[in-house]
This record gives sequence, structure tokens and C-alpha cells, in this order.
Amino acid sequence: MEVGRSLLAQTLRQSMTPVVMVMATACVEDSCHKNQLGLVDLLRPFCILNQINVPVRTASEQPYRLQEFQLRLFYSFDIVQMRAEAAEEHLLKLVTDSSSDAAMELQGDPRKLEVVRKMAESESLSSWFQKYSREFMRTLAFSEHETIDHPVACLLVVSSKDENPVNKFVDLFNTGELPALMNDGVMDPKILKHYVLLHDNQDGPINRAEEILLELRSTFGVGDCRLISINSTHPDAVSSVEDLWSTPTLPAIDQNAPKERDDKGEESSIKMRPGSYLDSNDVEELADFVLDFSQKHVIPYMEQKIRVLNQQVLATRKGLKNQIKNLWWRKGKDETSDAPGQIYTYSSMESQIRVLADYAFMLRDYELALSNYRLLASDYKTDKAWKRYAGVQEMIGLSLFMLDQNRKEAETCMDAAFISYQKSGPVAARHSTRCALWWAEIHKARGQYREAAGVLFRAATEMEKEATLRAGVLLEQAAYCYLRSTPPMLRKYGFHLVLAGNRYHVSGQRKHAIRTYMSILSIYEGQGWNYISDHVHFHLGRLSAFLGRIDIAVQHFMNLIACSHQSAANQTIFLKEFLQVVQNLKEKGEMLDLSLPCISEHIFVHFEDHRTYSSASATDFPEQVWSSLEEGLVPAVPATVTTWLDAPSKMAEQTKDFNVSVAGEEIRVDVEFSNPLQITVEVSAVSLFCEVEVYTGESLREQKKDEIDDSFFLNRTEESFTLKAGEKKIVSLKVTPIKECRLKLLGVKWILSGIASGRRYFPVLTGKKRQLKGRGVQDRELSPHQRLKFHVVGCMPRLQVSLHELPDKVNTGEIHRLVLELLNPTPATVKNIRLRASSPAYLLVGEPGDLDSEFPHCLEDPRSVVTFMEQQCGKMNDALSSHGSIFSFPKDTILESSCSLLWPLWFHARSPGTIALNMVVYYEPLTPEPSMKYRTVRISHILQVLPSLCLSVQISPCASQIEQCLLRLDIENQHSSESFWLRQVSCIGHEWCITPLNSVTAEHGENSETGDATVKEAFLSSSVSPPQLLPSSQTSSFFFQLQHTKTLRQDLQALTSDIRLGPPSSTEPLVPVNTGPIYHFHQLERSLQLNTKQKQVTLNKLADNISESLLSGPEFVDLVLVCGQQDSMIVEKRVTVHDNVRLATHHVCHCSVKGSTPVVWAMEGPSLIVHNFLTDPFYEASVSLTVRNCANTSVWVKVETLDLDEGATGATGNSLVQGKQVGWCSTSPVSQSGDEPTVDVISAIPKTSGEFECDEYKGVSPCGPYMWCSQRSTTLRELAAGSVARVPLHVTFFAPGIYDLSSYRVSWKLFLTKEFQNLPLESEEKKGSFKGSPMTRSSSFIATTGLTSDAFGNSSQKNSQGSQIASEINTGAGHPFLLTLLQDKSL
Amino acid sequence: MANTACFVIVGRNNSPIYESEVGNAPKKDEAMHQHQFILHAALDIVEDLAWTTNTMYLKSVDRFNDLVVSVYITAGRTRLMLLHDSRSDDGIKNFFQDVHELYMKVLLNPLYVPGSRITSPYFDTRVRALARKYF
Repeated sequence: MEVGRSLLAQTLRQSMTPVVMVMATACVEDSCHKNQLGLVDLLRPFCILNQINVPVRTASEQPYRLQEFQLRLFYSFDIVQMRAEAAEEHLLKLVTDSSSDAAMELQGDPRKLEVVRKMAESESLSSWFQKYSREFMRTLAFSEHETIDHPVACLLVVSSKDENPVNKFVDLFNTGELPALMNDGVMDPKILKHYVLLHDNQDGPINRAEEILLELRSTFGVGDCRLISINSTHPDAVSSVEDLWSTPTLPAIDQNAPKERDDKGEESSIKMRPGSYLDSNDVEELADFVLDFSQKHVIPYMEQKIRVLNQQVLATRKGLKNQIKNLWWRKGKDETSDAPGQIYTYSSMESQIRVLADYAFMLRDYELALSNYRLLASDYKTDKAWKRYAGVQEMIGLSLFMLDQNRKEAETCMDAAFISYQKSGPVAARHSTRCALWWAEIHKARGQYREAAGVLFRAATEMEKEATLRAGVLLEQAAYCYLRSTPPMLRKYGFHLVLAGNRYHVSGQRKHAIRTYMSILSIYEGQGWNYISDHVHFHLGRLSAFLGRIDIAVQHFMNLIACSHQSAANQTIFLKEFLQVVQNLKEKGEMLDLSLPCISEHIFVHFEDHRTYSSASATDFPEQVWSSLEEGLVPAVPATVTTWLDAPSKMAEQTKDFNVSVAGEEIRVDVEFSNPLQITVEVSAVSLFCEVEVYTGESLREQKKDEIDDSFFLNRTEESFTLKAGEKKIVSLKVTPIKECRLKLLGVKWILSGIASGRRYFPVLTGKKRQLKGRGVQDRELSPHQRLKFHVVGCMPRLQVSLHELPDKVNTGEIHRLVLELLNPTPATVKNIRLRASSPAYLLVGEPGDLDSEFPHCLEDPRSVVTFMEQQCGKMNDALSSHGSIFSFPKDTILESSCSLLWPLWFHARSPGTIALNMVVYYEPLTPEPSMKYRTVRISHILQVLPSLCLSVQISPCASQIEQCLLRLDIENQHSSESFWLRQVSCIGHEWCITPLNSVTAEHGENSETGDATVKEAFLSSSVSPPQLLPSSQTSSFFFQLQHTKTLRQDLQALTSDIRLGPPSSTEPLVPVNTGPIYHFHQLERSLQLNTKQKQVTLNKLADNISESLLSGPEFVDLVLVCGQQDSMIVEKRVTVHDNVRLATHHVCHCSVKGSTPVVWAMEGPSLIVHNFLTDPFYEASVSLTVRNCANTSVWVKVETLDLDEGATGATGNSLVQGKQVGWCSTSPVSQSGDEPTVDVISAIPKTSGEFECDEYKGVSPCGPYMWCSQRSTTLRELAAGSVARVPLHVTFFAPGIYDLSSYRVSWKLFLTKEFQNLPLESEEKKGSFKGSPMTRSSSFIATTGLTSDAFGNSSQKNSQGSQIASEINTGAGHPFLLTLLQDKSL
Repeated sequence: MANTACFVIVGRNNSPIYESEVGNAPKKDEAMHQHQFILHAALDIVEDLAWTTNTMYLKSVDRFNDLVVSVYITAGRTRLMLLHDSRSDDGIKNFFQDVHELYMKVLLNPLYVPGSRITSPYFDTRVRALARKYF
């Protein structure tokens, strides 16, 4: 920037101007005050002479021209050094007043950096800081160490009204009204005097004044006198003169006169336009006067003085001789003078030089001024007159600046001046500030803003401690300098503004402080320097609160309250201040976007559309569980496929982000609140706030955005809680729409510490956009639990479903009756109720009649058998099978408002583990709603099933009876503590019935029908029957006999056969297993077990052709074990309706009756014959062999009797491995029992005795005890499946004894039917294969018979190898058949 | 021994990613924001100085009253700044170098996002240990 046009140059040209001392009489002042102006003020506007052209010739011979000039007018009593306190007071007032100016200069939001920068760059003389600095310098004027403010001329003004004006002039100058400095001899009293006679035209014509002027001229000289007339305008006339005075250039410094202040008050109350009595002639005259005065008197006088002084200086100080002399003289002086504060009077050489330099500076001959200042500086330095030295250095710096020479030197000079001022004590401290201001301006003028900032900062920090205001001003300017530097140093700027703001704040300048702090916000915001931003916000908040801008204060404090990094003490302070401010807020209920407490972004919305939940646990299950359950239960939604060709339907757009909810049902939102602070925070009245749109017409809808007035539409719950330091809490907030509307959950609101009400909007989650490859964007569906918009449907029924009498823990196999209660609390009516359970094997839907009977006795009630069986059974089965376990309540079931429906359910804990009973109840409203056609209730219960009894069944065909099997039932109690009462074993099936084994023994002796009961009972109660009670972790085995039902009864109803376990004396009723829930559970169990079996079979890959019919055929038996459990003491404490019996059933299904062979045979014949061998040496008995085909196909069977001698040789051999001998043998009892451990105990008794006797007879008749005498071999060509054939046989005995007629052999071949063929048959015969029953079992079975045959051995070996190529003919040996021949002793 | 020392790591985006008061002076609440102000303002100077030198250690770049700011710039323009009131150039230089090494280890952590706050307590204890060692 050009130096001449810089701000500093302008300032210097304005302030470094000659001072004219004005002395006026009271009359003059009176006249002037008519215009509301003092004399000085009246003249001041004319002192700025801009368009002059005065030639000036100073020390050099070359004249130059001054284009502009200025005079400074002061009353003589104003020419006095200001007291520091008064100066400070004045400046304080100035700063306070200029706060609005400063704000105006910003021309915009101080928070915007650009605005501030613009302001800083457009700094001009009128900006408040420049004003401040000018005023500041003015307070330092008229100091003793510099002569620049010393008056150059004196203007003596006397009014024409004054009596004896000439004497007045003399008196004016001599009556001691001269400034103190002049009296002290610091100022030169011999100055240019100019005499002015002021005439007030209102007082009279000008003639008298002219007379006085003439008199004056004769006294003081023609040139030095002048007449001025003012107040020419008529008092009433409006002045046409331009108002030059109303913008006062220099406000009065009221330093010592409270009186004056009062006057001012009066003046301002009049509010008259200044200068209103002056007309244009007056103004012209005044301007003319000032111009004339300065051109013709002041400037020539100064020129004159400069030249004189310059001559003097040249004579005494310039030149080598003078310099040496001066040096020497100074040294000498130094030695003599003790006092450091020596006074340089105006007549001293130093003062003269200073005057010379200052005059030169004022007349803008900077070269001359500079040389003299330099001269002076060395003098003062050697004199150690630091203040004067500093003053001179200052001027050197300024002169250099004005000359734009040697920048470096200018800086060092200013630096030296600054330091010297500081050195010279606290008195000069303000001068050092002035120096710094100039210095900074020099830098600024040169564009060295960083240096300027440094200077200002240095001045601010190194000044006296009390001057905080001045420091603040300087620091603010330093900050602006940093802002203006290139590149802008924003952080320095911010820091210095903070410092300035702090200083302002300390000195009570809150408006300035808030302005500075506001400007920083943009620099520190969001930078992560949290302590800084906290500090800024805190101070801004406080200042705003002080200034009454509560709303702004609240905004700032809101940024503070969630500061987790601050200490607990600070947090408490921040929160306290915040709450105070909020309390002072005018609008009490105003919602603030508070950040305390913190609210997690993740929210979870619980609501119920068509899906409702009966309990909280039901909501925890994933949607897939339910949707799979609902499949088929709810009407399917037609899936609409849209392509990009279809126009997006409006409806879809509208409903896309909406959940459906029902009026009157609450919507719950889980929100997580957390407290980041280290102090406890109280939160109350936490609730949701929403936006409600109510449909009022077809398409018109009324919007209710107002959060307060929506209680008509919504019911809300309010929560209150206390959050400890760092605590997190999940709060469920509920809202219930009352009417049909469109609801939008906007956020949460709460009241903090009972004072500040805050709110937080929920984050708006839109479906995340997914970028497809080059295809644009696809919306992803938002989870319904995050959607916040609801279509509220009016008036839908909602069923409450509960499940009663469900225990938490059950043992496996237990049967319970549960009661399902459907309650309709809503006004709407419900129809078309349907139910589906997730685990049909566990749950069965009962009949309403079940409720009336008493559980568990209803299970024991035989009467229920018939009704249930005939009426419901089939229906239920159909329902279960056809709809996939969906149960529809009767069509006419309608649940009206506040009605409830009870329905029984049966529960059977079929397998151990933790099971979840999930059910879905479907229903429809009676009056259909278009947007919601149906609803469902989801019910979930979790219960634990403990393991109790484990059953295993083994069935082996009975050797002696073709229609009988032996059944072994092993029961293991797996429960850890419980004991079980075994009550009953039942067999379900058409084909077979179960009987106790004792009847076997009874039937064995052909008189089963006649066997008396007492024997049976005794038998049952004996040790043969295991105890009924099975303690925990024990096992027990039971043996039963299975009988073909065809042989017994034919009626269909007797599907079951039951055996009561335990002592026969027990009176407990039998539990009918073929009816009621037990039967249905059995059916379910059957199908489930079938599935598992089928799986096993297919895994074996033996044959994929095994169909269900194979497993459910007559070869299979289902067993049910009923056991009871007496509830222990714990249960007894409860008052239960039932007598604490818990019934359990265990089902074993599909136990195969089929033995190892497809053909079963048994010998039939008399068992006891009495014959007299003495009369008849041999006895021929006729027996018959019954052969039964158990296979699915017809068989070829051949029965061969074996000769006795064939087996005789092998009698001792008796081993399977060696067994080449075929025929009868006597088997030793030892080997028998060893080979066949599973042989029944009962059957073993007669056998051993038989063996014994057999041995005996062997010895008696070595040729053989008996002989077959019928056809040796009988062949049954084709025995149809399931059919029985009888082969008559004859045997001849030779001696009495017990015979085992087992020396026969049965061979068979299977005919495969077409279905089983893999290849076209070459022959009718095909090898048979044993399916299902293990082969190893057959071999051991053969061992029991004790017979060996060549062919059989081969076949069995081959079979046991498991090869598929079985021998064509399978052979089995005969079963033992004991025949006792007694010698008839009677004959 | 420095009575006051405030150590800050400033990330590339000029926000502090790690702060700790490592001096043995009693911790004062008012001091915290003052330290931050000084360090933050010093960033301007650092920005200027960084282009004038090849070394990473910039020595003391700025001062406020009797507090000195020493700065170390990593190659990734992360600035390690120490505010202290005593001069022990060697100690500070060594401290910076060791902390730089620690910072590199933090950067190697794949779970650490460069420019985010360093919250590792391990880093914090190590820095404090280094501070005790060198000042």
C-alpha cells in the first residue's frame, strides 16, 4: 500500500497539526451558545483546509506547496495533561458507547468468518478502533516531553458586547488562564497572537463593532485583528446553512467537571439543531477567517520559526566542532546533575530542537524533522532522559515511515521507543501503548500483518495489569491482523479473540466480549478440541444470559451439558447454569434439542398389526417360526410381481414404509437412554411425541403436527427415572392411538431435572439403497420394527389368549389337560377362529365336553369311551390329517365383546428336552375391515420335559403255540429323583392282545378256561411280578404273552387289551387307552415312530419297497404303558383340585411280532397218554403239525420226519459246528441254558424233567423210544400268506416215558410275488430273504432247539453271513414237543 | 523436570486424536482449555514452519507467556505437540521419536482408522511412561 494513503499517514496528517489556543470572554461564549456550540466547536469544521495551495519554504531554499492543512483549536483551559484516571474513564465510556458501532461495522453475522474478514479489511478512519486509538492519543496530548501539542498560536476572542474590548484582550492573556505547562516553563509563552472581535448580529448593528475594530487595529496592529459577525439569521427563520456541526468530530473530554455534564444534559434536552442562527454569510465569514488565519499567520509564523531555529541549531550543534563540544559538555553536565528528572525548559537547546523538528514535521518537511530528531535522540540518550528519548525515537520512526525509507530502522526506532517508555516507569506506560499502536499501524500500512499482530499482542501483554480493557482492544486488533495476514492464520486469530474476549469480559464490556466470542465459533466448532469449544460455549452462554438473550444462552449451554470429558465439578457447573438459564426462559414449555441424556440410534418398535402376541416370550421367537406356523392358516397374500415397465402404484408408495396398527392398541418403542456424565441426572416425563394425520373426508385430511394438543388422538405413558453416572437404561415408551389415523412417531421428549424440557427426533431410517451393477438403485425393505410410521386402523378385535394349567416342568410321557382361554375384550365380534400348534405330537385339541369332567379321572372313566370313540374320533382324525394340524373351532363359534371361550387341549410330553409350545390362533372380525382382514394371536410357552421312563420291547415267537408270542418289556427309570407307579400295560391293535404270562402256564395244561382265580392271584402277587413302584434309576423287566386276537374275540370294539400291573388287590381303574386323548396321542406317536423306522429302513437300503402296510400289518404290535406318579410333598402344599395323581403314558409302536422265520410251526397233540405197555407193547399216537405262513408271500413247505437212529450217533456230538448228524438227540440241560438265556423260566421246568426222563428211557431201550410211522415227508405246494396248514403225523412209542417229539424238519421256500421281483422269473421259486429280523437271532434260535442238520447248518451259516444269496430252501428243525406216556398201572 | 506438560497428537484434519497431561503439576480444570488454546493456535505457526525444514522435529515453534510449544511432524502430517515450560531439547526430541514409534504401531493396527481418536489404554500408559522417562 502506498504510504501516503495509508491510515497511519492520514491519521498523522490529521493529528500532527499545529495547535491553536483559543481564549474567549464569557460574552463570546454566550453568543456562540445560541447555536448550541462553543466557540471552538463553531470554528472547528473550518479548520480542515483541503483545497489550499500554500508555498512553504523551510530550512532548504526550495519551496514546496502544501495542498491541505489543518489546525487544532483548543481552549486554553483544555491545554492540560490529562489525569490517567480521567483518561481511562473517558476511554471506558468510549468503548462502551462504541459497542454498537463495532457490531454495525460487522455488517452481518459475527459467526461468519467472511463477514469478519471483510470488516477487518475495510478498516477506515471512521472504524471504531481508529476512533479509539485517536481518542487514546488525545488523552496523552499536551505532555511535557514532546512539543507537538504545544500551541503554535493563540486566538483571543472578545465580543463586541464586552465593555472595553481592548482591555479585555490584554486581560485575557494575562489573567493567568494560561495552561499550566506554559506557566511551568515547558511551553513557550511567546507565541503568535491573533485578536478577533466577535459580533452577534442579534445584539445590534455591526457599526459599533467596526468602531471597536478600528480601535483594536490601532492598538495591536492591522494584520492581527479581525471582526467576525455571527447569528445573522432571524431567530424564527429556518437556517438554510448546511449542518456542519451535528457530526461532532471531537467529543469533549469531560475530565473534571460534573457540572459540565449537567449542562450537556440540558443541551441535549433542547435538541436544537446546532448552528441554526448562522446564515450562509456567517459561515462564509468564519471559513474565510480560518483560511486567512492559517495561511497568512500560522504557516508563515512556523516557517519563520523553523528558519530561525535551524540557523541556531546549525550554529551550535552541527559540524564536527559543535559535536565534540556537545559531547564534552554533556559529559560534564552528566557529572554535575544528580537529579535524573531534569527539566528541559522551553529555552533549553534540546527543547528548541524538538520544537524545530516538530514544526518541520507539522509542515511535512520530514527530512528536516528526521535529522533534528536524530540529533535530539543522541542527546537524550546520553542524558538518560528515557521518556523524551522514547518520544523522539517514536517521531523518528514516524518520520521514516512518512518518508517511506529504511523500514528496518523505523522498526528498531519504534522498538527502542517502546522499550524506553517501559523503562521510564509506569507514568509512561500509556505512551508505550501509543507507540505500539503506531508501530502496529506502520506494519499494517506495509501489509505486515503478522508483525503488527505481534506488536499489538506484545503491547497488550506487557502493559500494566489493570488496563484490561485496553489490552482487550489491542488483542482484538491483533486477532484481526492475524486474520488479514496471508495466509490467514485462523487459529491465531481465534486464540487472540478469545484472549480479547476474556479481557473484555473481565472489564465488564459484555457486548464486546460476546461479539468476539461469537466470531470464534466458526473456527473452533467441530474440530474436536473439546475443551476449547466448551470454554467458548460456556462464556457465550453466560454472556448472553447476562445480556438477557436467554434463548441464545440456552443454545450455547445445550452444547455443553453432554460433555463427558470434563470433570464432575465442571459438569455440575455447566448443568446448573444451564438449568438456571432455562428457568429464566420466557417460553417455559419450549422444547430443546437436548443432548442429555444420550439416546441410542437403535430403537425397537413393538406393535401389533394382524399379528398379535399373547405374551412377551412369544415376541422373542423369530418371524420364521411363526410364518411357518401360519402357513395355510392365514389366507395367502397374492404376490404381485412388478417389473420396471409397471408404473409405480400410488398405493404401494403410500404404504411402503408404514406399519399397520389398530386404534386402541399400544405401540411400544424401546429406547436406550444413557448418561455420559459423571453426575447423576434425573429425567422425568419421558414420552413419545408424534405427528397425527386424521382422515376427515374422502381425501382431505387434517394434519396435527402440534405435539401438545394431540391428547385427543393419543394416549401416552410417561416414564421417569434417574440415570447414575455412566448408566444406560432401556425404556419402553408407549403410545396408544385412539382413533383411526396416520401416525408418525417423531421422537422422544423428556424433562431434565424437572426444568428443561428436551426432545430428540428419531433418526429417519430409510431403506438402505443398494447399488446394483449399472442398474441404479434399489430400495431395501426396512425392518418393520424400525419403521416409525403407522396406519392406524380403527376398531379391530383383539383376542387375549391364555393357556391355563400348564406346568413348567413335566416328566416324559405325562398327560395334562390344558385350558385354552380366548377372551375378547374389544367391542368387535370375532368369528372364524382357527388354531394351529407347532408341535402336534405334544398337543391335541380336545372337545368342550372334556372340560366338564374331572382330570385326570376322566381318563380313567370308561364311560367316555363310547361317546368319544364313536362321535369324535373319526372327525378329529380327519381334521388333523386333512388340514395339517389346523383345528377350526365350530363354524358357529362367535366371540362377542367381553366374552371368553374356554377350550381344552391335551398335552402329552412325548420326549424329554426343552420344548416350545407355539400356537397361532387365527380369527376374523365379524365386520370385515378392508385393510386388515384377519388377525392372529401368537402364543408361546416353554416348558421342560424331564426324562422319566424308557421302554424297550422284545418279542419272540412262542415255540409251542403258533398264535402266541412272548413279550419282554424292559422299563428303565431315568428320572433322577422321582419314582413311578406302573399301572397298566396295554396293547393296541386288531391282531394281538396282551395277556399275563401266568395264563400261558394255565393254558399249557389245556385247562386254561378252568384255571381258578385264586391260583392266578397268588401267582401275580408272588415274586414273579415285579413291584409296581419303580424307584429312580432302576430297571425292571416284565414278561407278557401276546395272543392273536382272532383266536379270542372278534368284536371290533375290543381293540385293546390291558393288563393291570401291581398287586391284584389294587382297585385302581384301568385306563382306557383306546379312547380319548391317549388314543390320539398314540396315533400320533405311531405315525411319528413309523417315520423314524422308515428312515432307518431306507438307510439300510435293504429294500425301498417296504411300505407302510408292511409295518402296520398284523405282524406289529403297539404297546402303551400307563404309569402314575404321586405328587410329592411339594405339590401337596398347593391346593389342587385333583388328588395329585399325574398320569403318564409311554408308547412303543410297531414292535415286530415276526420271528426269524417266515414260517411258524407247532406240534399239536395230547400231552399225556396213559397206555398199558404190558398189554400192548407199542402205542401209536396221532399228532398234528400246524404250519403257519407269516410271510407276505405264499411259501412252499415240506415237513420231514426224521428217523430216530439217524440222530443217535450225533447224540453226544451235539454241536452246531460239527453237526453233520441229523436226527433226534438228547440235549443236556447245561448247554441248553447256556445257549439260550432268554428262554422263559416257566418253560424250563418241564423241559429239565423231560430230559431227565428221556435219558432214563434211553438207557432202557437202546433201539429208540419211538418211531414215526406216518408219511415221511409231506409237502405243501403252496401255502398262502397268513394261512395255516395242518399236517397229520403218527408216532409210535414203545415204552412209557416223556418224549420230545422234535425229530422233524420243516423246509420252505418263498415264492416272490411280482412286486418283489427284480428280474423276470425263470422259475417260480426264488430264494427267500429274511427281512427285518436279525439273522444272528435265527442261528441262536436254532441252537435252542438242539437239533442239527446238514442242510440247516449250511443255510444258517450262509444266512448269518448276511449274504443276499440265500439258499433256495430254508430248513428249520422241529420244536420240542413233550409227550408223556404213562404206564397204565390199572391194568 | 517440567511442571506442566500437555501432550497432544493432532491428526491430519487438525483435530486432536490423543491428549494427555503428562506433567507432574496438579491438574487444573482451567489449565486444560488454556493448553488446548495455545496448542491449537500454534498449529498456524507449525503449518508455516513445516515447509521450511526437512527435519521432523521443529523444536519450539511458539510460546505463550512462559509456556513453550514443541512440535514434531510425522511424514503423514500428523503433528505431535508438546506444551512445556522448560527447555530440555534432547529429552523432548527423544520423547517425540519414541512416541512416533508408538504411533506407528497404532497405525499398523488394522482396526484403527487413521485420523480417529486413539483410545488404546496401552498407548496411553506407554506415552505416560515415556514422559516420565524424559522429563
